[in-house]
Amino acid sequence: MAIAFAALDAVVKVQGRDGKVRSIPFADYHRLPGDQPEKDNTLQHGELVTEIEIPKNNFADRSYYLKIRDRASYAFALVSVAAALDVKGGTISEARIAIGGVAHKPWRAFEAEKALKGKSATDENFQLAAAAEMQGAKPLEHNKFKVELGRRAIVRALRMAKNGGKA
Amino acid sequence: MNTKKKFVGEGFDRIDGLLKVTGAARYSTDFPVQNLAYGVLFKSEIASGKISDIDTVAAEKSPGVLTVMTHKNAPKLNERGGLRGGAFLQSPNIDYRGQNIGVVVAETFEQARAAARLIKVSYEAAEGKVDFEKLAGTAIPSKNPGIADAVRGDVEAAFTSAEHKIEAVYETPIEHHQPMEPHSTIAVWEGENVTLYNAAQMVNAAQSATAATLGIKPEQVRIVSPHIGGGFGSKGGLWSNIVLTAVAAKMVKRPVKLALTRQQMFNSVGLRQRDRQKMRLSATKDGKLTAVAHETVTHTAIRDEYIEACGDCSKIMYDAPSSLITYRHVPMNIIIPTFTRGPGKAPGSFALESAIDELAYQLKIDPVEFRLKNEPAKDPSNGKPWSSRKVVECLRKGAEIFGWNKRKMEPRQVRQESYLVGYGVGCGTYPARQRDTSANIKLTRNGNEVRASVELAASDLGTGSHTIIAQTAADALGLEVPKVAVKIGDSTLPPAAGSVGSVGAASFANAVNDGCEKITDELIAKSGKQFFVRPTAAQMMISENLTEFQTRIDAKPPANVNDYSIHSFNANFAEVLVNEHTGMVRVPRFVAVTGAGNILNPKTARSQIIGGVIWGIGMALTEESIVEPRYGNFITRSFADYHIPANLDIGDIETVFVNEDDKIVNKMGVKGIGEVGIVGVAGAVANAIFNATGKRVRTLPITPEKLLL
Repeated sequence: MAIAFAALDAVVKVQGRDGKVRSIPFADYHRLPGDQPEKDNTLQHGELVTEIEIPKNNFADRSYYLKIRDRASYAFALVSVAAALDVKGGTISEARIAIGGVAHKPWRAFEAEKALKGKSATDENFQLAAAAEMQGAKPLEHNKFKVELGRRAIVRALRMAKNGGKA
Repeated sequence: MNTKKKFVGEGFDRIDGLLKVTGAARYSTDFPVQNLAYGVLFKSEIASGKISDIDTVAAEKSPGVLTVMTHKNAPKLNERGGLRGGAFLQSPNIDYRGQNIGVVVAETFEQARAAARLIKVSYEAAEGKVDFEKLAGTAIPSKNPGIADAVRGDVEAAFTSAEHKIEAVYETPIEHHQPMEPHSTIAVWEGENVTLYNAAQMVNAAQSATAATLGIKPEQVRIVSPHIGGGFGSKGGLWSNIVLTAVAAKMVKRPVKLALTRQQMFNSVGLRQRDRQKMRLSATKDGKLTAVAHETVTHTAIRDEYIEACGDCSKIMYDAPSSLITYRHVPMNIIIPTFTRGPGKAPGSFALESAIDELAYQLKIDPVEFRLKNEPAKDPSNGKPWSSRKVVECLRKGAEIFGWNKRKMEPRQVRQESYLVGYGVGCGTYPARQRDTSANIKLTRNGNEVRASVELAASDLGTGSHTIIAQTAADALGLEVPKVAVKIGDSTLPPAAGSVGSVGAASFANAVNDGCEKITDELIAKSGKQFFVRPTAAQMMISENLTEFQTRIDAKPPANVNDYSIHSFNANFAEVLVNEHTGMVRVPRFVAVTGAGNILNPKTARSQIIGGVIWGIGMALTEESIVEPRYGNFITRSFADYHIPANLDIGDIETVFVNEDDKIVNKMGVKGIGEVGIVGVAGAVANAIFNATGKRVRTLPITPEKLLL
């Protein structure tokens, strides 16, 4: 769910012990390890998630969630992609892409989204967008394969999204 | 046996099935024992070195704690008593990470666990030998004659001069057994005698090893193990937890229950070792093998040796005029490996069957045909005749059922939506043996109703021992199956073979059959009458008006078994779908054809083979334990990240037994099927992946990262 929420710009509403409610943009809800790797999110002590809000969007016809894993079920993603497209007359007016399994938090693929905006929804453009996103990836010894797997996953998820969930 | 039996050979439901589905079957920790205290193990957090200090003060003061046992206060135990893996708290020395270094005993499990977390251990750590990849070059030969180099003919000359050959290295990872029931014990002392409720694949061996470790007589130890929630070899040789529970119970003068947690199961009860297997095969252009070389490098513990015999399948599987089988190993700071389903043969057959497939492809010969061309008329390793060998029948039958004729020789020819489709074949084998087994056969009569009780210290891993014993006895005594009570899994009963190495069914069934024949003979002799048609024991009890009669049998394997080469064989066929984009693999269809002599119960036998196939698919695709090279611990220690196949990973599995009437293996013609079911499976899957993708993956498991095509 977190990957899809990231793609859809969800807003996390949390309530503190004093009853006060605050809103956290989804991109700010999970955190990178920094010097506190034990902290996965930005919740303060005593806060509870009470609501998740998904802003209205035009992605209902063209979205897809792809999860690639080491076994068919009960496994964390090697790479997962949530992709959503708003296509008008063959042109992408807006694309949303988030990737799981590649960073400490759901990774919003802003580079790929930017590369697709205003372009036609073709396989070629999906390839270019995926390559643009993965270009800056910094793999470690044991996860190098995720650069290629992530690139493929973005392309495949976009293709599936474009076709309304069909290959 | 040619005589058609009424019950043997029929697919009876397990006679203990109702007990199991209603929760009435008692596993080790289910026995109702009063006044129990609870033990929790705590473990070394370094791989090598010694404990400089253990501070147990806070733990001892923690609520409910009865005692904390460490090497400082543990009683003297015999570390060479026959239990596996050391860890008896006899010294501060550490040989592997996860070695038991103490036990907390408390009024409740939660109190013991909470107290264990308060224990502070200081170590003098030494550099551990934990990285196989770095140490493999230092491997040494074993002194164990069972795995000495086996050389036949001149492999080097044959290989060098051959026109067609393959040389490749196959890598298989550490795997864990992980039966449903974790290893656990309840220890109850009465004076100087102890009863241990503890699952044991070999009841008598568990008794003698435990007694020897404790320094008491075997008759002072009673092992109770009527049902076992799986073992896969890890409950064959038992581990220090059984005896630590016994001594903890003695210390607190109360019964103690100690069950390993799922996480502790990863570093307490052995493993399947990491194997590196170099294969060299050569053949003539017509596809006749000229050389088979299978050289294995693996690891074992620092102080003890266990080496699974990967190359042994290559000794007998195919006919070649020359062969070379070697084993080298590295002593490492990792828990000792142990028997793991299809020991040696399961990873060994992955290497052999992959290499055979590679060479067949190079020769452009169908891999089934290639195997048929190299079928040995007798055991190539020793020249002995086979007692029976149905590899040809298994291959032909399997090919027909599977639809092998639709397979394309060239890879990447068949597509189905986003998937590449491939077919693969792999054969397997495992020795068939009967072991000495004794049994009591007791008959009672009430009016015209005769009942039997069959008693022996056999074991039932969940595989159906209770049921095949009842079927055998019912046939041999002339009773219906429900009239036969089966008592097993107790060391006070006559000694029996274990459920290990596929010897259980053959040993139990032959002993029980012999015992029932013997009691019938004795009843006839006692009557002083002569019969034209041999009466059953049940009829004799009625006609002689006896209310009770019993006998004991001490059965042995046939005298001439060593004149023959006696093994089970199989052929496995896999269909795989490989997602071109993601590298994810599915196995929608699998056919396993087995030649394993007389099948006592096709229903329980089918379950055995299905279990073997599933683990084989897991071996091929998902299972892997990685050792952290700095600390020597296993990185994945839960079912969330140590991947055994989930339901969705497994498609249709069809099991077939070919008709095999083997009069040599033993009187009942039983070969055993527990081990062979996994052998050849991973090879079939890997070969199917090559056929689908054109990619030869020689390192298991074949995860998506290895299939980014």
